Amino acid sequence: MTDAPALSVRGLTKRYRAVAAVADFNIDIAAGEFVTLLGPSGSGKSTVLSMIAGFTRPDSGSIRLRGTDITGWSPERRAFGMVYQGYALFPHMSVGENVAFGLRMRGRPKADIAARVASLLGRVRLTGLEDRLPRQLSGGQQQRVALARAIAFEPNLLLLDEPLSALDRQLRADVQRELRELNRDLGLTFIFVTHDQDEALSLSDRVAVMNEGRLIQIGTPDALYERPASRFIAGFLGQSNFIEAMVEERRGAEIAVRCGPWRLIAPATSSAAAGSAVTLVLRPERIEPGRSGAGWNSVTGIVVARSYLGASIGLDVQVEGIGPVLVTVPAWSGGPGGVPMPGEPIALGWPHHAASVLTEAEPA
Amino acid sequence: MNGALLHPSRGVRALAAAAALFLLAPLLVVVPISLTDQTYLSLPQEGVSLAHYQALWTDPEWLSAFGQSAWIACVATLLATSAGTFCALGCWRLGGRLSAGIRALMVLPAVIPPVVYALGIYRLWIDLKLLDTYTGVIIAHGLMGMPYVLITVSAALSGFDRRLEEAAAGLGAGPVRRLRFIVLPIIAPGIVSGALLAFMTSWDELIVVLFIASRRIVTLPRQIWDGINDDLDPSIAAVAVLLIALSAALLLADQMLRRRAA
Amino acid sequence: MRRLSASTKVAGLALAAPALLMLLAFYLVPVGRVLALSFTDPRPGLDNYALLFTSSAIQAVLLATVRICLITTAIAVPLGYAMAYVIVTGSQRMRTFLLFGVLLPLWVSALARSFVWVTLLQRRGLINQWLQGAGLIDEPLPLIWNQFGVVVGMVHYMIPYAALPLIAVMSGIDLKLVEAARGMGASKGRAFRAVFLPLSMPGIAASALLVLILTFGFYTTPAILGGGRVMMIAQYITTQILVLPRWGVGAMLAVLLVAVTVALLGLLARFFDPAHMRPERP
Repeated sequence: MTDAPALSVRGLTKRYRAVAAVADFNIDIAAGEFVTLLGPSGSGKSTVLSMIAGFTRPDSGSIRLRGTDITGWSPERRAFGMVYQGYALFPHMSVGENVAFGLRMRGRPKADIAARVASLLGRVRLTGLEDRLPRQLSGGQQQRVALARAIAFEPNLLLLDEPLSALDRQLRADVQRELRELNRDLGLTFIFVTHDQDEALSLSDRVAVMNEGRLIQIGTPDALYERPASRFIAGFLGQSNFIEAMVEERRGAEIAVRCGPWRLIAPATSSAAAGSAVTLVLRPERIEPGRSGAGWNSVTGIVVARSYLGASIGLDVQVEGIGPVLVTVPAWSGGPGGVPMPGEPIALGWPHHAASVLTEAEPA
Repeated sequence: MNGALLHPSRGVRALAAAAALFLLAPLLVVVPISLTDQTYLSLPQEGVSLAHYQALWTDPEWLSAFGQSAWIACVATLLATSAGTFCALGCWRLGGRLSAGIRALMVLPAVIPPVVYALGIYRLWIDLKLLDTYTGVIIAHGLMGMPYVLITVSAALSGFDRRLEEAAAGLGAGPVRRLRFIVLPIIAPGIVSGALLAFMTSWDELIVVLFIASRRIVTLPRQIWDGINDDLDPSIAAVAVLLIALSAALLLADQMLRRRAA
Repeated sequence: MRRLSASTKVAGLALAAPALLMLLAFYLVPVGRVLALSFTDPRPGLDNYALLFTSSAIQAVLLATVRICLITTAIAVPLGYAMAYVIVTGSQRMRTFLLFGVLLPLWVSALARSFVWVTLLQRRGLINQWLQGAGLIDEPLPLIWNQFGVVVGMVHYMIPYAALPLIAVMSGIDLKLVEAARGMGASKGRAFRAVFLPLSMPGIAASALLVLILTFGFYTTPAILGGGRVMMIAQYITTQILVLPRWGVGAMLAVLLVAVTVALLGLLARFFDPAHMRPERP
């Protein structure tokens, strides 16, 4: 990043009575970036968005837009586009008037407005519907009107507050693709709020995970998924096995840990000294039945239950000294030996670098 | 509606229908009376006559009473509707205890018997020399209409989605333009409904006018009151028919507004 | 969460200010000033209030007021109940007709309605003419300028007000409960008494209180249909001020009127949230 970030948030804090809805929130967002705030409900992500939009005044902290401090600016002065859950279309205005509203407020000439509205409606595939009222449209169409309205005046930023949660699966996929295209084509910076981890991972350049008013971790989707910084992230993004172990020795970039009868190798972290307790985080799909050899950890256990998941099969395996381990394997029935049934023994293997290591006591 | 199990019995239906007839029939009986060919209150004897309606049209006292009442009611409605709407918007912004307190105060003129207000405003107008003036009557009637506007507009606002205002702000509309382009158009049915009630409050108001107006200001209710106490002329029946017709029209308008607002 | 909160408080107060200032200057202050006269006019003290115990004229007025209030409530509430019940549970046609019966009178002024009753009830009015024409009576009946006339007019005025809170409360009753009671073998009357009636009790209380409040301070209808022979409190106050004038006595009765109204309103608020009832008419 050479210039100042498109948006820079420092120390943002908001309290409601004694409860901190958001505490010391920091983020830098580059121009054109698609950043998602992800978290369970009540995590403060919507409050952050509301403060960025200017609807909620922070108790402390600053918000800078390309270097300019806008913390005290009114929402109308910030000129950020916003798309809401449930869309918040003006019910008394036609589709065309809704889309034109932001342009009208900026006093653009009538002819320009008409041309811009027509081109936007074409872009979101709503040509011919400009005289309809919002309530005469389907949910997906309303969603696209809301998008067109938010980008009509070429805002500095597009803020999206759970805009997809009211749509059914199929429509959601369509709108997700549309959002990605808009982000790429317009070079517009997106800040997206959701509680849906799949949506966050598939759409975003970077994901900021929040919990209880705090930013827990920020990073690219794969960094978050592969190298979760805390148990919360590991549990919130996808499924994980947590293996409690004791560090036996440290050898360069690797550590050897003891867990019951098993000696396992994992990537070293700076604070994992010999004798300290660590947690290995292991994704179920990184484990392969029957694999062993150089560079691989291997353990054995008994299959307790199996569940068919379509593309894959989930196995609950009881491993001595570790406890229950969840394994997902591809659902190919003709594989060598097939997938074991409950009661059968099973050997499990995973590459040394497949697990990530958590050392400190759980922060949150 | 619901299962036949709940249908009211014949006796209950008859009682309810009788009550409705008791309420409506007298309002209809006055129509033939207004068309009487006699000079006293009675049904038409030889044939129907529009003489009493013509009398209204030519009698300067009735005409002036209609005109004064319409003028006073319109200005009082304007006063009540603007102040009441802004007050409702203010309460909506404030929320919480403070707004509940303001609302409780503001409905007083509608719940305290108007004779009490008549005493108060009569004495104040004596001091301020506003007895028997348009200003005096308009202010008093405006105050009496305000609670109705406050209540209907507050009801409309309670159904208003606040995010619409946020959306408008995000699109660049400042507070005044948000009010003008978003909030007011959406709560308009509530405002008009309140204005109708405020208009009727002034248009029908008798007791305060009996106190604070005498010679220069003679509103329609005052003129009817004098007519009933003096000679019970059939032209009052003609006025009553016109008033009932106006009420029916306003009732329909109000029902349509409420359906739109719903 | 309240949003757009920046200057919300100031802006809210500024918007409410004109109405509040008007209320203060042209309602609260003048009314308060007059009510205070009850303690000061013609001289400071509680003399005016002593009249409540010594003046037979005032006692007669209060007695007549209370009597008419109770009779009106006793007639209007059951009729309102029947109308509300059929509106909530009856057929669509009955419902439309009865709703019109409730709403139209609310929009017609007390003055016009009282006048209509004069044309019907007076000595040469339509009812006496019909009864005489049918040979049922020889002499016209005294239907007006007495308590009977006032009660007829008041009941006519109050039935819609009695019906409104009942409609609101009954609409909120889950009718499936009554069906369930019948399904368990209760007779129609039994299901009504055991389920519907108790659930509608708050409506009955609200309805009765509303009618009492409105009747207690009513002016127009008693003044016209009572013809000066039946005097209720509002009309008596008017006479004290406009005819005599005895401000102290008028103000004392106004205090009584306000106190009773506020007390009944307080009771009403316990049974019924007035916000649930949209104002139909003053």
